[in-house]
Amino acid sequence: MIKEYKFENIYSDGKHILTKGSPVWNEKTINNYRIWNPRRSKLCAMILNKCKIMPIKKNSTVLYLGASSGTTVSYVSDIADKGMIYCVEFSGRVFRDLIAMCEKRKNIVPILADANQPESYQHIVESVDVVYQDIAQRNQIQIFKKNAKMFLKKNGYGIIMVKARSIDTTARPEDVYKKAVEDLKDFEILEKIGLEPYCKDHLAVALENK
Amino acid sequence: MKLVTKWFGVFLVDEDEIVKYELFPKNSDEIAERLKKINDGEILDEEEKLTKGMEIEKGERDIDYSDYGFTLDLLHSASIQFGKMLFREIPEDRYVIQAVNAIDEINKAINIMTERFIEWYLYYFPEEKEKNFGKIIAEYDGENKTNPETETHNISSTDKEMLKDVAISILTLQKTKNKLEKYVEKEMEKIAPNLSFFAGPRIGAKLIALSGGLGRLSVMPSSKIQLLGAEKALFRHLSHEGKSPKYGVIFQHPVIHNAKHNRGRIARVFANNAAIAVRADYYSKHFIGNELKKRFMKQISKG
Repeated sequence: MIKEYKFENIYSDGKHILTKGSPVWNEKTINNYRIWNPRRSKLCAMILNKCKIMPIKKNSTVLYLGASSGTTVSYVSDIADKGMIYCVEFSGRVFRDLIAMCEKRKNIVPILADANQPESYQHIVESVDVVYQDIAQRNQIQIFKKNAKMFLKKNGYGIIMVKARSIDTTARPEDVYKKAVEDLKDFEILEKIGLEPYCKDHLAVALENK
Repeated sequence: MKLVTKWFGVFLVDEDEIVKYELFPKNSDEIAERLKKINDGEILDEEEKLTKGMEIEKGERDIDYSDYGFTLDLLHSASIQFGKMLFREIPEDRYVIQAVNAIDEINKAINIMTERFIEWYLYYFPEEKEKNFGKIIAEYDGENKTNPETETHNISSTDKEMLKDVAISILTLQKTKNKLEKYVEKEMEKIAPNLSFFAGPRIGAKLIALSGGLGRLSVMPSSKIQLLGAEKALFRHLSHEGKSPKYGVIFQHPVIHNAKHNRGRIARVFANNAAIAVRADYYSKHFIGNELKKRFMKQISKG
C-alpha cells in the first residue's frame, strides 16, 4: 500500500502524505508512518497541490524561520534525516513546545531569536542548502532576503509561504502575491503554488539562489 | 584583523586566514553558558584572552565546526539547554499581565454566573422583592431570610444545596478578584509608577498587557496607545471604511467616559500623556506623575 512518493523520504498511500519517524504528539500513524496533515502544515499542502520540486532532501541543512511549536519542523526533520535543521522562533510561549519536540530529535537546533535580525544567530547557523520561511510578518519578504543573503549557499533553494493577510489585510491577495514575487526578482523563481483548499490566502514560492 | 565568534570557539581572522583561535570546552553545559553570554551582549573570557591589547572589529566568516572536532550533537544539546535557560528568566511585567487578564476573565465569569443564579433563584422565590442580587448572593444560605413566605413549596433540600454552591462559587470569585486588584495596584506601583498614577493601575496594566510588555509600550506612538483595545474597530475602519475608533481601553478612565464633549480629543491628549508616563517609567525612572496629571487637566480644561 505505502509507496515512495516522487520525493526523497516522503511516502504516500494514495490518500495521505506520510513520513517515517517517531510520532511527536498523538498524530495518527499507518504502519509506523506518520500521517502528514495538510491543514496543519503548509509544506504538506504544497506537496499535495502537486509541486514539481522539493528542495528539502535527505541530507539538506535547512534554516527554518518561524518554527512555531514544531509541527512542520518535525516532518522536515523526518525528510532531512541525515541533515540538520536550524529552526528560529521568536515567541517564547511556543518555543517551549518546540524544545520538547527537539529533545526527541537529534537533527534539530532550536534558536530563540528574531528572524528580522539574522546577526543575532549568526554564530550558530552555518551556510545552508534551504531556507524555509513561514512567518506572519508584514515584511516577511525582506526578512527572507536578509536571511538568504547571510546563510543561503549559492544554488541553494528557498521556500516562502507568502501570507497575503499578514502582508496587507486590505489588499487583494493576488496583488500581494504579485508584489511579493516582484520583490524576489534577485532569485530565480522555480514554482508558485496556491495552497487552496487547505490554507486560505497563502502562496508557496520555491526559488533558487543564483 | 577580525574577531569571529562561533558557537564552538573564538577566532582571529586576518584576510580570510585564521591566525589564532580559542575553542570552547567540548561540553554542552559550557557551550550553553557561552551562548547565553553572547545573547546578553557580554564579552566572553575567550574573546578577551584572544584580543588582549589589540584593536579589533567584529566580523563574520564561515568556519567549519568539524575541522575542530565539534559535532552537531553538541550544538543540539547545548541549544536545548540554552533555550531552557531562557525560560527561567521572566521579566517582571509578565506577572501583572497575567493578573490583569485574569481579572477580566473573572469579571466575565462572575457576570455569567450571576445571571444564571438569578434565573435559577427566581424559580424558588418567584416573588422576590429585593432588587440587589449582589446582596442576595452574599446572604443566601438555602433560605430566603428577608421574606420567607415567598418561597415556592416544592423545593427539596438538594435543590437548595445546589443553588447555595453556585452562590458560594460566585463569592469566591469575587474574593479572588479583589485580591488580584490589590496585587495589580501594588505591582504597578513598583514597575510603572508614573503610568499607574496617571492612568490608574487597572488601565495601565491593561495597556501593558495589550502591547505585550512595558518595553514595547514605551516605544509605541501615542496614537497607538490611544487605540489599544480597539483593534477590531480599527481594522473594520481600515478595510471597509467604517467609522474610525477614538479610544480603546483608555475609555474606561472616568475622565474620558464622563466627558460630555470632545471625547476623542480628550482621549488623544490622554494618550499623549500616558505615552510620556510610560517612557519615564521605562527609561528614566523619575516620578513625574504629578506634573503630567496637572498638565493633562490644564490641557483639557482649555476646551
